[in-house]
Amino acid sequence: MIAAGLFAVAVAVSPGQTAFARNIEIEKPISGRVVAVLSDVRIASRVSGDVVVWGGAVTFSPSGFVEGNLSVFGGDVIVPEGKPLPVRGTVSTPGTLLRLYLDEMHRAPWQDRSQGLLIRGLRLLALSVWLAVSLALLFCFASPFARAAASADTHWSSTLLAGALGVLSLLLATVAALALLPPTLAIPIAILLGSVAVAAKVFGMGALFLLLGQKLLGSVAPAKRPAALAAGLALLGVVSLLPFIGSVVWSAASVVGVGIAFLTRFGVPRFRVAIPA
Amino acid sequence: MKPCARPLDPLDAEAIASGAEPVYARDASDHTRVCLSCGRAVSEAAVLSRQIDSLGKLRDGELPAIRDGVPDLAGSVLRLRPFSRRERRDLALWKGPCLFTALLFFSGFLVLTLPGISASEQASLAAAALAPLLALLRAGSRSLAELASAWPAGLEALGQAMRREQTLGLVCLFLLAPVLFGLRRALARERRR
Repeated sequence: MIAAGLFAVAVAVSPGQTAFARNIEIEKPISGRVVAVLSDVRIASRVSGDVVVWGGAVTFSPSGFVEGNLSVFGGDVIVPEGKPLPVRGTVSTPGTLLRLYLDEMHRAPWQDRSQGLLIRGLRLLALSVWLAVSLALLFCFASPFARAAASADTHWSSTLLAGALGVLSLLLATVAALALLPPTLAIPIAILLGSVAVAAKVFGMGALFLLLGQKLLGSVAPAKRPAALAAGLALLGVVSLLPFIGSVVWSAASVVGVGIAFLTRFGVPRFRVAIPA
Repeated sequence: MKPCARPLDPLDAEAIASGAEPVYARDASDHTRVCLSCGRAVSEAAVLSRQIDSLGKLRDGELPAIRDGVPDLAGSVLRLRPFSRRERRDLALWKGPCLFTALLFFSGFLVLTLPGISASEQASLAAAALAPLLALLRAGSRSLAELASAWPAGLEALGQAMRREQTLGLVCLFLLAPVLFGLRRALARERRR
């Protein structure tokens, strides 16, 4: 009878699950890890390993439990109302500050009734960080920034095209590397490509703020660059706070920003003039 | 146009353009009257000289004038030049944007405190306002730590899922070639301008 019982348990417990663009429903205990990409996961049973989700939501049923860590990249965690998060390990939602903030305030995300206001508050804080970083970059690299803004001013269509093709190239290269190369090679390549994308976005957005501000103030004077940068960010920031349209505009601005960075090679001049000593 | 067998030295061209005596070839002025290519070099030097002269006349901050699709040299120089030492240290230039950054930060912070702030539940209103700030700082530091710790495992898991989709990888690789070609063309076209 004991042997039969052990056999039944062994049959009932399935190993880990991996899914791509296909939703997963966990209704039987799982002994390994659950990985889902562009998929939603509903957990109604015990998972012994980690749960890692990219671009999808994780929904817990009352009987769902995760023994390992839960990592959700670009997605939500949904828990039955009034229940604590049924995860024994660490819960991480990298890149989203809201969950951590609510956790620090001892307020569970699913119990909060004013999330819209909190998201706007965090957005304003993020805009202040954007402005601080852009001003610091402008202080250190004034000429490359000005050159990038001037280039985007005269070649809007090329900038947009370069941005779209640049973002697409980075995305395709990352997916191809992750799918075809061994992990020891694919992960450093993915990190490198991600870093290039982040650097291009930060530099390009700064140049875009400067350009928009210069248009608003009607001046390209070096002395007015800091004010122009702030004015450009204020304009784009106000639009970004609008529901739906805001995120669309900000995403389009990010694509343009990447285009500015690539097209101007981060504002590096085409020809260097050697000054004899 | 036939190339000149005895091309003019650029210094001589500049000298003639500005009405001065040539430095190297004494007969340079006579030569430019009969030689088309050297005459052209002198007129180009004259245009450049006029543009540089106009640098002093352009007011700081004026938008560069564009004539026949070619931006004015003086305007472009003003637009692209780095900050001077005085501008870099001038507090008046940076004060406004820095204050705006602080204003954005505190308005965001105020919006965060709004849902939770209630004087009756707290020791004081200041304590109630301080709680979200501390929570924000702690959440920020935790977020960075989380980002550092979760990314390697997350990428490894993403790789695991993606390796099961070899066809998708091949399709991406196949599409990457024309996209990279297009990007290279777009960048090269920009550099030719």
